[in-house]
Amino acid sequence: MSPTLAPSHERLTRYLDGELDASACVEFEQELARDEALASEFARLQRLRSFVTDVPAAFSVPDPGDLAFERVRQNVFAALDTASVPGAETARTVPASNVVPIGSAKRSRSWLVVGSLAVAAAAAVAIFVVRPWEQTQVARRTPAPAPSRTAVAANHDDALNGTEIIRVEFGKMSGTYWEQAEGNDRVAVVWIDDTVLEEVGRQ
Amino acid sequence: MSARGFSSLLAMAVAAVLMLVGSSARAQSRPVSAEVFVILARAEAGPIAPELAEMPALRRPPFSNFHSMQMLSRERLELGTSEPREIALPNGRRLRIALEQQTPDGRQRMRVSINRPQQADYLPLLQVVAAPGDPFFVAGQQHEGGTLIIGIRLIAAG
Repeated sequence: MSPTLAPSHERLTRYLDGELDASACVEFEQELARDEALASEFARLQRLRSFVTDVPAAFSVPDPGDLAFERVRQNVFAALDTASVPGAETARTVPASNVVPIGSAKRSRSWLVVGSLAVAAAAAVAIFVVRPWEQTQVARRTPAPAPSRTAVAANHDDALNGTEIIRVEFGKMSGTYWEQAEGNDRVAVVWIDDTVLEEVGRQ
Repeated sequence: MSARGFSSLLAMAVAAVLMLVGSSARAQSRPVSAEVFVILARAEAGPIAPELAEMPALRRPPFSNFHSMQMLSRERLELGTSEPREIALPNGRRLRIALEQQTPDGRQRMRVSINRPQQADYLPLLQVVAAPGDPFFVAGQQHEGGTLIIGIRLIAAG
């Protein structure tokens, strides 16, 4: 049995990546000409790479944890900006609608009311903005094998709200995924490579 | 402030929180519509199904490597969180879509899988947070000399 009947994926990858030296390249190419199984695997990898490299230039998608933090931060600062009570430093800790004028005859009770409302507001923020039960999901996100994420959305908020691929399990297959945006047109793609499976009729 | 006024304010705060929780729960239980396209794409020159003109993503790489596209099926589904929906694919596998939950910004967290009946080893899991109107595609299955492209697009609530 030829040793190349089970082709070395690593060697193929290194050849395609240009990491083999000149003599190893010549040796590999001679082997490629002799071994049909190796040639077939080589062609399959080349096809997959040509699909993937045709995707336009990459762009960076912000880390989902950063996005959640940024949303919370923006909400907090929006609340602070509207709580403009001159000289009242403590007013900056609660939304403007909850501010009670300082100097009220029943200040202690007023602060109790403010405190209660602040607790309610904090609970609402925790439930609808922070969503702590979702944080573990964000942490489990599979490191993106996608070689490309393309183009730039019209603005940052648009990029936040597009379709996102959170996790992919390819089973016996290999594959890749990526997200693209061009203007307002956004799309996510999962590409399964089942060429070999179909070629050998193992459906 | 009187004790009665204080109690009223506190009750209003609690009621506001409960209303927010209630509206969120209602949003979760609302069914969501989705369109599922199954396309057979080939590298050889040929016709492109006219319905695909509304999906510009299919005219860009890597899909632009295909020079003919045939719409094999186009189906509209109502997705709920209670039960996944299935679509039979032309190669005998089944596409399963399950809605998980709505995110605070109105997107839908979904689970998608593609397998043969009683099997779970082809595409066991694809987890997506989908924005209404933005399609996502699962492509690459070889079929009748071409490649299957499955497009899934949530339909924005009217």
